[in-house]
Parts: sequence; structure tokens; C-alpha cells
Amino acid sequence: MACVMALGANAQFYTGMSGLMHVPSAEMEQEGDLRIGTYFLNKHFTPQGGFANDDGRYNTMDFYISATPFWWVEVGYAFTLLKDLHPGYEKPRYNAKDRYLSIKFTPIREGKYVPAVSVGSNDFLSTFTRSKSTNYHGSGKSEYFRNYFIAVTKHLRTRGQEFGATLAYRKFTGDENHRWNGVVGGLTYRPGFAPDGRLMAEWDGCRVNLGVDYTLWNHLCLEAILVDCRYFSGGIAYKVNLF
Amino acid sequence: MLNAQMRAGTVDIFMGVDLNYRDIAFNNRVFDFLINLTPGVKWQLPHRWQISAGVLVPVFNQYGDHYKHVRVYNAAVSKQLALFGRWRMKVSGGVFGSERYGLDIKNMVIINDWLALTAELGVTGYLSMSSDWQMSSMKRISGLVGPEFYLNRWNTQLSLRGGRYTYGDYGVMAECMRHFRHVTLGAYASYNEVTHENVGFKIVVMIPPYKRGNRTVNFRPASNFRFTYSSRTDNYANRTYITDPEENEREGWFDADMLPWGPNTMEPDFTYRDDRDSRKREEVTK
Repeated sequence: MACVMALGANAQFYTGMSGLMHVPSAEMEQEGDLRIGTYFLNKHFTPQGGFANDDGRYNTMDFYISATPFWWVEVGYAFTLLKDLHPGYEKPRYNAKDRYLSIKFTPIREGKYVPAVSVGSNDFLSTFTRSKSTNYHGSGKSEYFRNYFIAVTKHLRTRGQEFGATLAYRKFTGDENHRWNGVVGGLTYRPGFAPDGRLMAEWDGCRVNLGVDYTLWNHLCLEAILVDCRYFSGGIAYKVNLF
Repeated sequence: MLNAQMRAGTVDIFMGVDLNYRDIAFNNRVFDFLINLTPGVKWQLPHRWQISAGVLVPVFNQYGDHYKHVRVYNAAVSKQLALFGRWRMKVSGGVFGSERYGLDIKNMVIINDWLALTAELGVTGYLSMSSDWQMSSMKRISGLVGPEFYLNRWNTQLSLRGGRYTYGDYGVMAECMRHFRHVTLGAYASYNEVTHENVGFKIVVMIPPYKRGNRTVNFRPASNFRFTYSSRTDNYANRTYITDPEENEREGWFDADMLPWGPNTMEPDFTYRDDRDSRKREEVTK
């Protein structure tokens, strides 16, 4: 017997949007969901082009808020801390941030035989794009997370367990992040004895990431992942349904 | 269900929190914060007259000396009218938000249950009580006009407003808001001659308790907490002012029970407690 509906999306917490870990999926949160959270980003997880100073690359945190106002659209806002040395100060510290908006549309919902299909983007609107002004990284742009994607996801549930498969194609606009371009994807497993949790494995274009997420008391979402099967990242979010 | 927002003869004393943050490069901080308490009072008079006042009490200030003093952000008299069964009007005079004072007229003409037209006209001047008493003469004319659409099935409100903003700049703003139970989520896009294109989002949370007392004098938290994010900001572009200390996008400009339209037709956020005082007051009112 096969059932086709996902029990509830989680993950890709670092952007605040639903997905796998680094790979977007066509899963959606429930209509009316609002999430507020934070995520520890290991320096092996952050995009190239930013998040490095004279001391090299550094770990950082992001903070986000995201919502699913309709079943077919998810929107999010996140900012990631930047550690810079400002003029007149002796040591670099977390004193700036990179902001971005995310959006995901799911025009095709998952059916018995039909997979869900989503298209979306992170960091699709840059503050610096229009003004052509120079920020303190000298590039004039800070589109570290900018990417566009299309994703297809299908779930299969049997004996209370749920298996999911995602295939996506994405394009980062920054040349330095081309390693994440192309076909990416992953697998999820939601055990019958812990339906609020999920195990994940994904190929993000250049490495394999492993992770687990769990939702406690319907509101508290936790995620822990190993980037490249080695480097820890993780986050926590509070989720509430507004209906 | 009775709406608990307006009842003649009552005085509501309330307080909320005004949270402001800004991002200034090279000051070695991620954000600067300004947190004010917002005690206020509303005195509801017969025939939809209202007297209101509110002050900002800074409790945490990284914005500088201009914001360190207790200052009035609302002291206004207003009157609402229902005309011809379709026209809602609110006339206000006094001290408004955004350091303005003057006269303001808000209008909504209801075409049908999904379409209405709104128009606001203001004649205002600058008035600041921050570091010193500063004011300009009441010469600035501002006005915004546009349609509003309401999709009842999804409790979703779409609006398009354009015109001249408070500081004389011209612009237009399109907004989409979905109203949930006690919370509204909104996204907007705007174009302005100063800031050019801009996008952002809004969250309006109605603050409990949702059952209110119906005494002559009521003490309560402020009705709502609003959060607005703008990807591009300018203190003197796209600015509007509030004429009511608790004005918000969810409740709109008018009493919910006066020609209800759009979100006013939803289950009200606040209702009266059915206690002895409330029943006694109901009898006196009748």
C-alpha cells in the first residue's frame, strides 16, 4: 500500500525554507505555517565569495523568518552574520550581515502518481544590484546565496514509514559557487516509530551531506547535519500554524 | 459575535512596545535598536467621536539624542461617518505619527463585497518634541488613492495606492495581505521617486487577551504589534503617518462594525467578556 502525502516538511533550515539540507526540494510547509529560527553555519557550509576575512573563513550564524501564506507559495527572509574589521577597530567581530529574501512556488502538488514540482530562488533581490554601490567587500554586490532552482519530490509511505526522493537542478549566479550548480538531489526517510523526525542524505553538487531533523511538540524544529559527512551544522526554529 | 473595539463612553488605557532597528555600516554593530514603551489612552465618545493620546517612552536607545526624550506621538480628535450606506469617512485633527500634526481625512467607498476605493488626504506640518519643540507651518498636502480588493474565500486583501506621501515625494505601493486568526502576513512592492523600487513584508499580530472587559475604564495591552521589513529605506520617502495610536493594516482605518468590509467581516479578534460588569454595562447602554 502506498500513500503519497508528505507528513510535513522540514529542513533546509539555513534559509528558513523547506527542503533537504543544502538542496531545495518540492516539499512545502503546511499552509499558514510561520517559522522563526536560527542556524549555525559551519565555515564549510557557507558560500564562497563572502564569510572570510584576513584570518580566513569563519563559522557564522543566520536568523530567519519564513511563512507559507498559501499552499503554493513559501517566502522567507534571512540574514547571515558577517565578521569584518571595521575602520578604527582593532579586531574583527560579527558586526554586519548579509540579508536575502527567498521564494518558492509549487504549482504542481504531489499526487498519488504525480510528484510535486517547485521552482524558486534564494537571494533573488539584491540590495546592491540596482545601486551599483560598493560595499565593504569591494564587489558592489553581496549575492552570496543567490540561486535559482527547479525541484521534483515524490514520497512513498509503506507500513507507517515514509521514503522521499528529490531531484533538483539549480544554478548559483556567483562564479565562485559553481560547485553547487547542476543536478542535485537527496533521499529522506521518516521512520514509523518517530513520524516527527527524518533522516536525510543528499548530494549538493560537490559532496554528500547527512542529517536528521525532528519536530518536538509540533512547534520546536531541530536539525543537525554533517557537511561532507564531517562538519557539523545545525539549527533550531519555532513553528506555529496561524489558522 | 460582538466586536470589542468600540463602545461609546469607555476609556481604554493601554501600553505596547515600539521596536525599531536600523543598519548603519561601519559602526561595528549588526543593528542599532530603539525600543520605546507606548502608553496611550482612547476615549470613545458617542456618535463615533474619539479622543486619543499616546507617548513614546524610550527604554533602550542606540539611535542618538534625538530619540532619548519622552515624546507625544499621538494626540488627536477624530470622528467617523457612514454615508449613503457605502462611504466610510474618518476626519482627524491633532498630533499624528511620524512627527506630523494637522488635519486628515480618510475615505473608503464600498463598491461591492470584493471591491472598494480608498482615498486619504492630509494637510500637515512638522512637529517634534524630541530634543526641543520644533514645528513648521501646516502647509504640506499629501494624498493617496487607490482600489482595494478582498478575496473572501482566502481572507486575502490586495491593495494599490499611489499619490503624494507625507514628505512630498510621489510613489505607488501594491500590497497583498492574508489575514489569519489574530495574525496578518503581508508583502508589498513599491516604487518611489526617491527610493525607486522596493519590496518588503509586514506582520501584524493582535495581542491577547482576546476577551476584554467592558468597564468604563479598561486597562489592557496595546491591541497589536506590527513588524515591517523594507529592503530599501529612506526616512523621507514613502512615509505615511498614523492618526490613531493603535492603527494597523489588519483593522484598517474604521470601526469594524461601521459598514463592515473585507477583514472586518472575519471573526473579530477581540470580544467582550460575558461577566456581570459587562452585562450591567450592556443594560445601561440599551
